[in-house]
Amino acid sequence: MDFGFLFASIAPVFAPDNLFFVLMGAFGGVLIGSIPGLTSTMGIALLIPFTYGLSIVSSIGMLLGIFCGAMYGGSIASILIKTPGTPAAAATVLDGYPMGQKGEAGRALSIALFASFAGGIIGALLMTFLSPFISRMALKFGPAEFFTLAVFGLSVIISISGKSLIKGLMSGFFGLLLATVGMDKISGFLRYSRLEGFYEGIPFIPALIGLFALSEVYANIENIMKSQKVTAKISGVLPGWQDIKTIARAIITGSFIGTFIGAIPGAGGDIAAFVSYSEAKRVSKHPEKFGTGVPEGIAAAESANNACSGGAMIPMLTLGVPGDSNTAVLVGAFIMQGFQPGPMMYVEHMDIIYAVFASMIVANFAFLLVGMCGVRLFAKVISLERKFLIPAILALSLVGAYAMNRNMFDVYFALVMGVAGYLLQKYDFPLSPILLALILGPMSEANLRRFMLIDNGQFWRISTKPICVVFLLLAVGSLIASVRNQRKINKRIAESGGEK
Amino acid sequence: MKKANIVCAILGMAVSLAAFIITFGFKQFQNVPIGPEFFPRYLAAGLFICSAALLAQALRAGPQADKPAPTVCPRDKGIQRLLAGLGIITVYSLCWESLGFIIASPFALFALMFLLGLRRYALMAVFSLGTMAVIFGAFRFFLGIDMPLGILYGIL
Repeated sequence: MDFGFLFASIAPVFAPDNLFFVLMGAFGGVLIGSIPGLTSTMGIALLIPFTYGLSIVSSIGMLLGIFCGAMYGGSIASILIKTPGTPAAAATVLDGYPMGQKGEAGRALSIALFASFAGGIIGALLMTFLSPFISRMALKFGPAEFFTLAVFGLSVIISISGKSLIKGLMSGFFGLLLATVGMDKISGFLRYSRLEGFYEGIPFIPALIGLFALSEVYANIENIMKSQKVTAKISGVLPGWQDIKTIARAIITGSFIGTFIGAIPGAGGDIAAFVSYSEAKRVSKHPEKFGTGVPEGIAAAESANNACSGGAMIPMLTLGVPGDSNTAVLVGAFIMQGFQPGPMMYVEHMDIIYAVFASMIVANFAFLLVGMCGVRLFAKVISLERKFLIPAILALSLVGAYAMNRNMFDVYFALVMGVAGYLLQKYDFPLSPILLALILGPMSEANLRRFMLIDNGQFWRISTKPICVVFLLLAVGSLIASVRNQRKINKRIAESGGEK
Repeated sequence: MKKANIVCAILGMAVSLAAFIITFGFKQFQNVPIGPEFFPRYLAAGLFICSAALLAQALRAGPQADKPAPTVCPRDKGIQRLLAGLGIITVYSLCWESLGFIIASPFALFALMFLLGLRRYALMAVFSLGTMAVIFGAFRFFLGIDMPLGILYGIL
């Protein structure tokens, strides 16, 4: 390796003006990520025109700042208002919100920040050193592999089912069924509804906002007289040594899971976070505490979705194939600057590749800085009197539902999903399986049908594909482990007198 | 909770049955191994089986394992407040297109705060206007998203 060339390539990344742009990007990313309804893709797309006059290093640095910052920013709304700021932060709600409700929002935010940072750095390092290898693996993914990956993802439903396995499965099937509403992607046939708003399928962001934010608004309106003010204790902007020791394993595992899943085109941070959460719960000595606000739950989800950013860059840089919607927009930014990501970039513009690697690491430090400055401020939100907070969350949620498509149908749909979420939650039906099913349902159906079309309906041929066999075995293993875990949890709950 | 679980299970079975039956109306395509009806049909069957399992579990559960179910009775004070809240929220969202976000929001937020029991009117007015201004400003000017302006369209 030519170290002189390496250092000369990454030096511009550390120029003050470039660091400023990365920091601005990270600030904007954290802000956009923390607003429900706004995604990092939207943030990057909005800022691309502003980067036109910048150098390639500054513009990519700024956009990577948004990308990484938004991934972390999503956790803020998850922890404070039970609404994932971005779909990738959906798994963070499971333990982040309960921890916040125990008066430990500061601790939850600092754990999310540290895990996001660590996951982002590990993902960026893996991207730097393993990109050729992982991209070769990811290229072997066809419809059958994607289908089995989705099946593996869906096997997580059991571990996020909460108190009742049957109700978790019902939620999962309901979500999968809901995901089939609208135009069938393969035949173009409209299923279950002819409403224009469902042509593209169930609007995902409004569904997410309805299920998590509006259902909580409704529940709070009902129970406002019983609710007590939550005060956030903040002992530090980063987690304490004891917390770091507790979450270290979840972070490392989550980062590897996130990078690998992120490298598979089409599989994003949302899937990675749920898989990582399930894995952390599976290996935990106290799985029954997951869902009540444990640090490992937050760390597993956050490290995985941030490591996904590095993973998603791998196929983009090595093959020119975007790993997710964010990197698809980033490809546009590269092209706008006169560079075509792909194998030739490694031959012709290795200096840019090194600069991207360095920018990715700098972007993670930038959002760490933004997060450290903001933890105290963010945690203040939860200390606001609920009677003020609830109307503000309502207005923000409705605007969030509207913002994606500037469409009133999405607002009405979010309101309906809110009522459904409120009723489901009231009768102990978990909401996370519905969300996971809405993410993985279209992916599993489309790929299964593509595979069946290609292989003339011979489903058995899936067993001849090694990657599929591995995923199916993992899914079966995950199911068995989750069922055993659930039994263990039920037993411990029964022993402790029925209280979780 | 036993009764509530039975009702939920029956509802689940009804939804899955309806979803299953509707799939027979989906268009069939020639030379396509699995059509648009394939996935929903299996999912509906899955939901039906799970609902039946919940029903069986609820029917088998003894009275000692039963815990009181949360109420949705309109006579309950909390539910009455929720229904009133849902009314405000529905009217608020319907007013977005006619009155616009800027005009509808302060009134709706104020009404919700009143419903939640706040009586500090000056503070409520300031908070309603402030929240509307911050959200509108952030989305309209910072993020460049066209907000529903209603009757203010053309003025702003």
